[in-house]
Parts: sequence; structure tokens; C-alpha cells
Amino acid sequence: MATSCLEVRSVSRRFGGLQALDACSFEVERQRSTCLVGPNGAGKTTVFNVITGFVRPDQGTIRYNGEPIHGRPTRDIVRLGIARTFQNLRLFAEMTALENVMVYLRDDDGTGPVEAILRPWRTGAALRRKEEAAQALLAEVGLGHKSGEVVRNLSFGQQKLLCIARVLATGAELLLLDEPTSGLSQSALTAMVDLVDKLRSQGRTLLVVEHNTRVVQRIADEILFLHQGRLIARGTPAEILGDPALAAIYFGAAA
Amino acid sequence: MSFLLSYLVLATIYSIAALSTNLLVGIIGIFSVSQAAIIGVGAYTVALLAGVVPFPVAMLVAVVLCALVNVLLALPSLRVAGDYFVVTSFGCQLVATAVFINWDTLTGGASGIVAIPAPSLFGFTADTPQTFLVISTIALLAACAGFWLLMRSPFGKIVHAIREDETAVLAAGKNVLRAKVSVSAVSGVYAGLAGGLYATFLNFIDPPSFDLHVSILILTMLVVGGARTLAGSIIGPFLLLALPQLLNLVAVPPTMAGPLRQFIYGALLIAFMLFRPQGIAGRRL
Repeated sequence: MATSCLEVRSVSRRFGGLQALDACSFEVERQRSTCLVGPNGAGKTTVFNVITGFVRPDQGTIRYNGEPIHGRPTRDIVRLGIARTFQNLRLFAEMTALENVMVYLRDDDGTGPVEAILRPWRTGAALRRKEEAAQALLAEVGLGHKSGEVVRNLSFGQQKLLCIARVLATGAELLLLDEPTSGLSQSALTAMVDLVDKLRSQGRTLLVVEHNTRVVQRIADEILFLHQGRLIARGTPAEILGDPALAAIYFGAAA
Repeated sequence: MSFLLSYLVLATIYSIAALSTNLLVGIIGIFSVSQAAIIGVGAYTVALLAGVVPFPVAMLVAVVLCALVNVLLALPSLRVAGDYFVVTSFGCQLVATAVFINWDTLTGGASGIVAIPAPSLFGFTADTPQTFLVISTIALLAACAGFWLLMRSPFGKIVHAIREDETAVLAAGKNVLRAKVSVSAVSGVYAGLAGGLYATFLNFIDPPSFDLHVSILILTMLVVGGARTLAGSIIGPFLLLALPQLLNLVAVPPTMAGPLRQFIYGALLIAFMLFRPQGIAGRRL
């Protein structure tokens, strides 16, 4: 049986009058692809925000590999091995694709100002190492030929692939992908699904917010169904997508 | 001749000041309008210490003090975003000017400090514009080298990224606070250097040398020259400081020269913002 790496226990979070998460509990299993689905406003992005330390849970605990991470700063959580993408991308638009990935690289070589000025050769070597590492990651997501391009000039599909390269650069074991295929044209969608599928077959642990049921069917080992801030069902794609009651919630609430 | 040399010395000093402002405003995106205050702290520190301790020691104290004060003034930017920080920074500038004017036992009040000794290094005293130009040029070259090394380093990339999207840098697991504090400290070092050189070159400082107008002048230099780049921080000061000299050439009545200069600075600021926001050699702010 697969072991879980992330355990979310009874996590609640309220924003003013809105109970975004209501005693929400689930696990994410190592080296599996888990899709988080549910109607708009179900709390999917809030789940990402509490896991990655952008939002503190009001109640509940989150453990990663047994270690409590709730309430800890994002920086620590990334270091422990959880990284995320954003629904609205949050790329550095005026920087090149290569630089975007370089900023996300895990190793801290050359990231100190004093070192940059007083040890220029060492910093130069660190810079070249980082450029090579970033270039390899761009090639991995199919953007090897776009490394020098300023992000603003990339197509939307390329920008979304770049987000994946960035999140890979953190070296995190658990990747949280927030709607990787939303807004993509058919060809870009195919490229993204192939990439996510590749990550899955490489044995990475994925937690993916996804709306497109065909995509979910292709990439999910397991589905978590979230509704009004609670986990109301979990199962294989066949079990969840074949359940008429869940379909009614999903499509009814979306309508 | 001495006129030209004085212009060159001042232009090198203002270039260091522009680099200081560029680091905050252009590079990391902390929109400070109080850089003249920091330069003032450096200038007053060197003016007070110059006769007491050797010049390099006075400069070192000024540079460290300015780094600390600049970090302190930039700290609100961690809590207060964008436009609100401008107002906070404006307040800091007003407070600094009030201190320069009113703490007269230390600063000499409105009449300032006179007869500041010229800098002397290894038995060589820079008491003429020629000799001072050597010192200020070396200082500017060092400042440029530091700026260039910082900007090309992985640290420089993180700093640029913070200006574009701080949240995304946090999500990368990077220490945003440390980067902001570091850039503010380096910017403070540059301001202290500029201030110390200014005081020892002119041998005289007073509160108006470091008031809001001067902060705005440096920002104008940055806008005209071009923010975010090394070249922009040099072109701006050299161009704008040449303006008063040019006005001297076209026989403007002396009573008109001052107001006309302010008018032209203002008009340039507006024109560049409207028609060329990236400046001559920079990128859009």
C-alpha cells in the first residue's frame, strides 16, 4: 500500500463571513497523482494556500512526512519539499524564461550580496551552473528553444509550461499545480497533459486542481472531491466521475 | 576650467547618489523619495568627523550609519505597499530636514557647517577640483563595479523578481526580507559615500542641500537617464547638472536662472514620463 506524505487534519479557515475550509481532512499519497476537484468556491485554492503557508489555518494540523508545517513560513515549507504554481501564473513578465527558472532554483549559491561583490569569480561560476540547470529544466518542459525570450513575449501555453519548469526548479518532492490546463488551446492542452503525465510516470507526487474531467481521467490516480470547504468524497476517477450525485453537485453548482 | 572640473566632480557624486536611488526605486521597487535625507546623514557625519578622525575612518562611519538608517527607513515598505510607502518616505524626508535645521548644536542649524576639511588619503590632500576629481571618479568606478556585479549575480535576479512579483519569489522559497534589507543597506552605503564626498568637496553643507527638492532632483535624474540600468544612473546626473551651466551660456538674467532651472527640471520630468518613460538608457519604472 502506498504511504501518505501529506496529512491534512480538520483544517478550517474563515475569511470574514465565508467558511472557505470547514474541518477539511485528507492525505496525499507519495508518488501518486491526486486531483482536487469540486465546484467553484469549494476551497481548492485555499487548500493550496494553507498547505504552502500563504494562509494560516484557523484550526487543524498539516503534516508533511510527519512534520507539522501549519503556520510555518512559505520559505520553510518549500525547503521541506512542497512547491506550488499559481492559477494566475505570477511569472516575472519582464525577465527571460531562463531567469524565471533561475530565481526558483533551490541552491542558494551566489544569492548573497556581499559574496556577489567580493567573490565575483565564484559568483560567476554559480551563475553559469544555474544557467545550465535552468536550461535543462526548460528543455524538460519543451521550452529549451525559448530560454532567452522575455516572458511577456511567450504564448499563454508556453507561459504555463514555464510555470511547471519553475516549480520543478525548487527541487520539491510534492508539486501542487493550480489549474495547469485552464485557458489553454487544444494543442497547448495536449502538451501540458503530456507533461503532467510524464511527471507522474517519473514518480513525482502531484496534487492538481483541475476542472477538465477528461484531463482528470487521464492524469489522476485518485480524486478528492471538495464541496463547501469539506472533503465529501474520495476515490478512483471511475468511482468519482461515475457518481451521479457528485456530478449534480459539480455541474449544478457550476451552472 | 575650474568650472568644468567642479561640474565633473558634482556629476560623479550625483551619479553615486543616483545609483543609490536606482537600487531602491528602479531595481527592487521601493519607491523612496527620501534619498537626499540619507545622503544628508552621510554628509553631516563626515563633516562632523572630518577634522577629528582620518578621512577614510569618517567615510567608513558615514557609510555604515547610512546603511543602517536606510534599512530603517525602508522597513515600512515591508508592511506598507506601493503608493502608501511613498507617503511614508515623504514623511521621513520632512523629519530629516527638520532634524538638520533644528538640532543646531550638532548640525549648525540653518547656517550649516562650514570649513569642512578636504579629504586626505595616504598623505595626499584633495583640495583642488583636479585632485578631487581623481577621488570622486575612483569612488564612482567602484560604485559602478559593485552595481554591475550585484545585478548580474543570482542575488540580482532575485531582487529584480521581487519588484515584479514578490509573492512568486516567496513561493520560490527565497528570503524576500533578507533581499530587501540587503539592497537597502547597499543603497545606504552608496548614499553615505555620495554624502561624504559632497561635504568634503564643497567644504560647506546646509539643510537645503539635502531637502525634498534634492530627492526629487535625483529621481528626475533617474527618470531622464533611465531607471534600472547602470548607464541611466550616469547619463541622468551628467545631463541635468549641465543644465545650469548651459543657462549661464545663454545669458539668462541671474534672478531668472534659479526658477528657470526648476521649471526645466519639472518640464523634463513630465515630458519623459509622457513620451519616454524608460528614459534615455533605461527601462520603464
